[in-house]
Amino acid sequence: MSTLTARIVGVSVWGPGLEGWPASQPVLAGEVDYAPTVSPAPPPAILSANERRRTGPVARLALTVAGEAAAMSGLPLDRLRSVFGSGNGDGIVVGSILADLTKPGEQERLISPTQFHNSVHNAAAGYWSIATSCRQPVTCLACHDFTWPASLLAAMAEVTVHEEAVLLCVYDHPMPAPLDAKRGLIAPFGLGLVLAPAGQKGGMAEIEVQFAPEPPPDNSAVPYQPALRALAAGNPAAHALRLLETLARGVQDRHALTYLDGRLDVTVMP
Amino acid sequence: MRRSGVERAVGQRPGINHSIPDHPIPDHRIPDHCIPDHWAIGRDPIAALVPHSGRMVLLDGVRSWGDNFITCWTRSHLNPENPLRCAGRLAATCGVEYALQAAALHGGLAAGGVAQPAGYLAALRDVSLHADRLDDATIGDLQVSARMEHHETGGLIYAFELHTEAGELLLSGRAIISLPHGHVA
Repeated sequence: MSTLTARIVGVSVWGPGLEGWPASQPVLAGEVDYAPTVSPAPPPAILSANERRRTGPVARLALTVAGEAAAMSGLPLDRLRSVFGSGNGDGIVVGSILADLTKPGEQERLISPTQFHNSVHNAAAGYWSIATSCRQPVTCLACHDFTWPASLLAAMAEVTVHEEAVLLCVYDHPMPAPLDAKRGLIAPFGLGLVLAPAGQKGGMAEIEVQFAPEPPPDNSAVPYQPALRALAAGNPAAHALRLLETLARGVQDRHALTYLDGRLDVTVMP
Repeated sequence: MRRSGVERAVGQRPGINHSIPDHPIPDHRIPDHCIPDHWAIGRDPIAALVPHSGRMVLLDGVRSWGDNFITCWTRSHLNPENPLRCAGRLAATCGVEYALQAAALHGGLAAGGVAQPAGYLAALRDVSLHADRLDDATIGDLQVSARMEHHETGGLIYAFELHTEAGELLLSGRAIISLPHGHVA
């Protein structure tokens, strides 16, 4: 399969003890020790008060990282194509709907229209399109533990084919009990990247990806820092931590992400 | 603005009665260009008419087709190199992709053997799976049928069925395909 190349012109992160790119960059660069804390994403300022009230923690996480990466790129928000990836989608909303539907003794089982509206997998992407008045195409993906390489590959393909910048937003949030028993995530984590067509000047780094049907030959995709490895292993979106560390350090790196039976080779050049 | 049939179907919940019948209606007309088996269309012409290439061309041949239907066959479900296999297995849900390729191929054949711009799968309705996996040698040649139920500028609806060589139903459903640039179907 051919190699896909793009320019990274925006980046963001949100997770436990990683509250936005400016605050996290020294941690990801290894200059400051990683100190995980409980870090709920803030209500997204980009939404109107009405829409903001309707968002839960998962949509807030997605919109926070989408907004930060897009702002860093300086590109007009209503012109950005986007790829949103999440393995779980909004398990909090889905869990609450399921709880309502299975409440013992209830004659009439009603679910709130707002909850239903928020339960679909592309809810966060929908809020983003509304907030930015963007009518560009949006791709929403889920691929269980492989959501990060799946979403990155899709975004890289879009940049290459359409020769337009793509906002990539990948996020995953733990689900409440009892759903978490089947799918446990360690903590909420999300990241955003804005990928521009290769050859453009500026930005942070050049990125190159290539799919191969064979599994990775090594575990090169684990974070440099041992303190971040539990997070990387415990949330599909946090599989991107190795790339984020590479960008924070401004170094060159090549790592291989497991993608289903195969792998995605990722090369970053500052 | 008049809303198209496709948009109406997209907006409706499954199980609600709408203009599309629940089951494909047999076509009693003799199809204009039904091709006998011995003239069958093989992999190369198929590859030229679907948007896929290489091993993602999943269909091996066309048994018959007409104005609004196509029946294909393939053995790619048994190929260990099938790109849709995961952990060595081909899940029954992958049968939907087989059906959509048959629909794309039908579009190309019905347009006079000219590849058509790729459509987008907007929705799947009434999908029912009668098997867990397709990488099962007892299936024999996989039979992939698609019937166009509705078409107009902007979209298409195909009902589809996959059967074993012996005629057992493996999978059925209905696909709503959007043609985003408003080209005439």
